[in-house]
Amino acid sequence: MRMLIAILLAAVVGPFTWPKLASADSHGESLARWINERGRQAWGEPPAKCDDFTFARRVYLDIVGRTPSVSELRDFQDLGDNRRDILVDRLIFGEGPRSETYLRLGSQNLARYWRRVLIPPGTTIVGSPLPLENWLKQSFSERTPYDEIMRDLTAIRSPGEAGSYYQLLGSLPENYASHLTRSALGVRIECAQCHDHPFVDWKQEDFWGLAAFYGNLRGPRDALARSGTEGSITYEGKTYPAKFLWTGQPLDESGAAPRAQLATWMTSTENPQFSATAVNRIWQYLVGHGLYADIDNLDQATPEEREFLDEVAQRFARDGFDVQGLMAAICKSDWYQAQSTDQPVRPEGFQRQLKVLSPDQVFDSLEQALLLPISRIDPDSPRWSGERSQLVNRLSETVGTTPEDYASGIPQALMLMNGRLTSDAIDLENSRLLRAVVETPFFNDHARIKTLFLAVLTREPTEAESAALVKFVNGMPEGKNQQEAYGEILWALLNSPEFVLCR
Amino acid sequence: MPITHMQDSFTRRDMMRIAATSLAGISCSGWLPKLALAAEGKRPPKACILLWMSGGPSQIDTLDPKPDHANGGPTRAIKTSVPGIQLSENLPGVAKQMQHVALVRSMKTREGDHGRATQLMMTGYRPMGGAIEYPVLGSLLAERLKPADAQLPGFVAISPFRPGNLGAGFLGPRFAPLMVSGVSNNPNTRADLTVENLDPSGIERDQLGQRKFLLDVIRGGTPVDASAAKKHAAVYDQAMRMVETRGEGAFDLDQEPAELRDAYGRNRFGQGCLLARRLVERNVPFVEVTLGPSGEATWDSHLNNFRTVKSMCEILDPAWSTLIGDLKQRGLLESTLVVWMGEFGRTPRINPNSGRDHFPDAWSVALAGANIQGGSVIGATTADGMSVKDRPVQAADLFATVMEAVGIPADSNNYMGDRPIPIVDGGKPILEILG
Repeated sequence: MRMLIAILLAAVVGPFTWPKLASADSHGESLARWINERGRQAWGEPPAKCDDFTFARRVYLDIVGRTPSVSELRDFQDLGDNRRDILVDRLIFGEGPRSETYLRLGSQNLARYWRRVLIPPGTTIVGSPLPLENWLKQSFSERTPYDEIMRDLTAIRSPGEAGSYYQLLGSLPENYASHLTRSALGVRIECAQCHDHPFVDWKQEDFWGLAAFYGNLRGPRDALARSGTEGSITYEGKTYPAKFLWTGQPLDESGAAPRAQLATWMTSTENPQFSATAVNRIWQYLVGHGLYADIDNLDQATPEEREFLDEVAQRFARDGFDVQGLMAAICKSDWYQAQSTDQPVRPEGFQRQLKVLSPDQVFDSLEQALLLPISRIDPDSPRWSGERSQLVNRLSETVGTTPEDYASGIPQALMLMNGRLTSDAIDLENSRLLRAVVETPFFNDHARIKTLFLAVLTREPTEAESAALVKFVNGMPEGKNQQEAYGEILWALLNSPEFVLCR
Repeated sequence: MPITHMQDSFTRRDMMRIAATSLAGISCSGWLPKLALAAEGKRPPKACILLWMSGGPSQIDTLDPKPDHANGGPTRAIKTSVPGIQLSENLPGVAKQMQHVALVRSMKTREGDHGRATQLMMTGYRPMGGAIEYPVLGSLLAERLKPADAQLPGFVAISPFRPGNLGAGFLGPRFAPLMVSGVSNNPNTRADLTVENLDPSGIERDQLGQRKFLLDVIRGGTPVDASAAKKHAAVYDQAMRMVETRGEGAFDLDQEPAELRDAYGRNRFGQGCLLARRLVERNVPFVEVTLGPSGEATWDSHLNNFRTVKSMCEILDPAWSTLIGDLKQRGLLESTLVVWMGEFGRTPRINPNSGRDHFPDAWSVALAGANIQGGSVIGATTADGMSVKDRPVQAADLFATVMEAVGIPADSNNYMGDRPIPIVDGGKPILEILG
């Protein structure tokens, strides 16, 4: 918040120099160095670093939710020796040009990501998830510490608070409790809803004991009205008192409201499950797989399996649950910047695999690459005309369980192959990108192909690709047909695995 | 449809047999693998068509009439082809096919919200807060029944409408539904009932070769062995084949006789049922056809229940009854299960708006085909319809019955990683109607 005000003030005052904010630590440098070293202990030497274009594609997608434009790539290349760290600071902390845009996109991107954590694809929800996403966006834009966000979600006093998350989940105490423990603590207790869990130790007392904290919250149309108070719930004739997980510690009868006590217990710096789950999720989001891979069953990890994770988590908690700071540190680390491999996953050691773009990232990258109009009053702007939601909804029908899991099916492929956005993109009349490429007079065929590659895939074509594609264009009759050949090349770029994957 | 290829794999005797059946009145879409098997007297592989009544239809005004009670309202009961079984007057066509149909009049579930009830009736599992993404019925059956060499997806959903995004869940995208949309209610043009985005953008079908070539050029730049890239290539190859063959010609409804199209009903649902039959003939193991809100009419009849249910049945009855008759005539009913259900029933008590509200306590579904014992009734409701009097059937019991009817052991497991997930949430099949 303080930084936002500083930026707003600066904008009023006019040309300004960037304030030197706090210590270098708030930008994650020292944590990044620590992660580098700790990683060496765990995995040995890191793989070779990825190239600059790949790095730019990764951080733009991971931080602002879309691929970089050709001009942003050019700016990045001019940043000097320390350009990777500088780019991270620009995108995460808004330190540099386009500050306001990057900060806005960044909090939006985090809000969308966290919304998918709180409401995983496939969850049946009641109403629109937008209020929740907006509430999260507001929190992230103010750089609200992570523990505070989760405390607000846990300690709700009415169903409409905290972005109406409670109502979205159907206004059911047991639903809310199980979603919260999964997303915040990496624990799945919901199998104990109907019977004691067959594989782990959860009992019905644990499940309903958590639901009991929400026993008095009702939805507008509660078909199966159960009697309950804030602190007890009745299910199939049995009344369960509110109970924390793991600990037999009773509620403080004279103290704060039960939900406030739950929030305090859950988000405490002493609760290793809380900070470790957050770090594990952010690591998975950025690197592709968690420091402990089975992210929603972290309680199943052995102490050895989660040692590294717990150490990062302690630092995260100590540094005030600063999500952006942690992201910066990871992005600046050697592990994030490792080249991805096409070798099958090895059980030990460190590997980076290809990551799949989220549905929102696919659209926002298309919008950026194709230079689509974005004005709300422009009837042709896909962001507002319904095309965005069509594409995002279609892609959301099949989302993998981890970022490395490509889960799209035929309908998704057909949409990118033949859908309206693609048809317009490859049509000379309608495509801004295509016109810019074919109508720029000083471009030769190689330069045209290179521009298309940079805009869509964030890389230059290989010599073999360039030669094959120039030959394809020249094989067409001159004039309109050759121009249309670029449309076909653009079609292939948009439909190549590289467009929907991040290398 | 590669007819020439099909001919290669038939013996001369097969051809003569098929020719003979064609003469006996079966149209020339009899060149299809399934029909050929049926004509030879072999048992074709099992399939299932789900007629999904989105919104929750009134059981009293369809399958469980109560003409002698105030809760029955003005809806009368009519005789059916099976003595002793009555249906509502809204279903005269289905009444004539009653010998093939089994009614379950004692459904008892616990979800009264559209979204949650839809999840329950589509997956057989109660919504439990996202631990496991349970696959919907179509994905479950597609995974078990899809032939290895299938050209078409194992699960096609026609005019789907569902809240949330129910799909293949942990079974993964290979068993996700291929959606067939219908933007208008005028099915006379192919475009109105087709797979979205099946026509190539900007070029003719015969130019697809150049796109494949270009895609191959650019794929060379990716780490091709990475699992995500491999999956991407597999999905694209299948999608490309669908575009090239226009979905094996299944969507060319104009190949059907006009009288038959009329009989199904010239509306999206009717033509969807016809399309379902064409897909089943092409070895698609599961097709879902949704009858949702249509114009002013809806199954969600909080207002003017009797008028709106009557309108819905005018679409439903011809389509459903013609589908059963058509499958029977082609020798496919013995291998094809037809399920009729919604997410719940409606209150027997009539509300002040002449409507009926959501009611999961006592409602009806219907099954026909495969090895279902037609002409039977399972369970009963009380005279006022307010509760199940006899043999309550839960969602999981219905799912177990469906599984057994198409030859899938109801007590078998799927696997999420190495964790076993029962295909049915512990239900018991209704043995009385399984032949």
